Amino acid sequence: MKKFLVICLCVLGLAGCVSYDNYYMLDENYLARRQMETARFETNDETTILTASAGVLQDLGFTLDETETKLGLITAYKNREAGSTAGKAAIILLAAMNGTQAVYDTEQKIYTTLVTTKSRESKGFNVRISFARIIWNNMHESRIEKIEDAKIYQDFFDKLSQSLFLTAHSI
Amino acid sequence: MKKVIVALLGVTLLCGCVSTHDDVLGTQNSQVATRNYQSRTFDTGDKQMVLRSVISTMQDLGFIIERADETLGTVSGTSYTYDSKLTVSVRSSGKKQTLVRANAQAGLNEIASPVAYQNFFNALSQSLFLDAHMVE
Repeated sequence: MKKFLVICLCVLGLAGCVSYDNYYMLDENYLARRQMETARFETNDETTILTASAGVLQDLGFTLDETETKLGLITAYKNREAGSTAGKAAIILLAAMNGTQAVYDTEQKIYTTLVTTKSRESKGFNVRISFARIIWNNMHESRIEKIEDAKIYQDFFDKLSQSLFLTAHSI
Repeated sequence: MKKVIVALLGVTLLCGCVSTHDDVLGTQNSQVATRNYQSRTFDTGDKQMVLRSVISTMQDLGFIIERADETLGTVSGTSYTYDSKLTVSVRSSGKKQTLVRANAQAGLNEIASPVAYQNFFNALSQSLFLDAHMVE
């Protein structure tokens, strides 16, 4: 019985202890990610860059959420269906054959944050965009994914480049 | 022994009783201590540059930026990696210094760990340095 009491007290003691000491630490890839997410455009007209960026995001179906032009910030999001119909059908079929519950993605919300900053070393402005998404499945569970496919970022900068009639330089 | 267990359960239940006053106005540490570990002064008078570096740092840490206001000097964002929300305020402190204050919550708890804020300010220092000396 004493052991039981000791265990009870330990559980009570531990219940209040949650450590946040490992929060907000940079991982080793943050510089590479920053480079992938940034391109430099040789113009000193920040408003034009922001206007063109907002236009490209609208072209891509994003809803603009927050803008603060004095900080060069645009945030936007879009809700879309997650996963292909064929993929879902295959998962349902496999689960039925195994007699298990089919779990497949149903919905996703894609977020983006775009920020412009004056380049210190070269002429023009740096544009940094980051994409992330939350995906929900048919069990109402969600997960977050940073989008780290370099081609997505390259394609975005190509579209912005076309819109601005300027070349996107990597940093 | 049964009495001890009942008493233990009673204490456990009482531990869960928090008044509305504490819910609204309570903090884990004193206001002075909280302000102390949540704030840092940086040796630059360029408030806008610091604000933009705060946004960059939050992007580096995987935050989704939700709000920013240059006049108030505030930036707020959500991190799904850390399941936390962070608000950072930036204000000029004299002509050559800028004061940055951050406060965060994770899930349903206030983050009262000075180390977590130290980590954030370390990341911000690196970002400020990068923004000032970015090699292109």
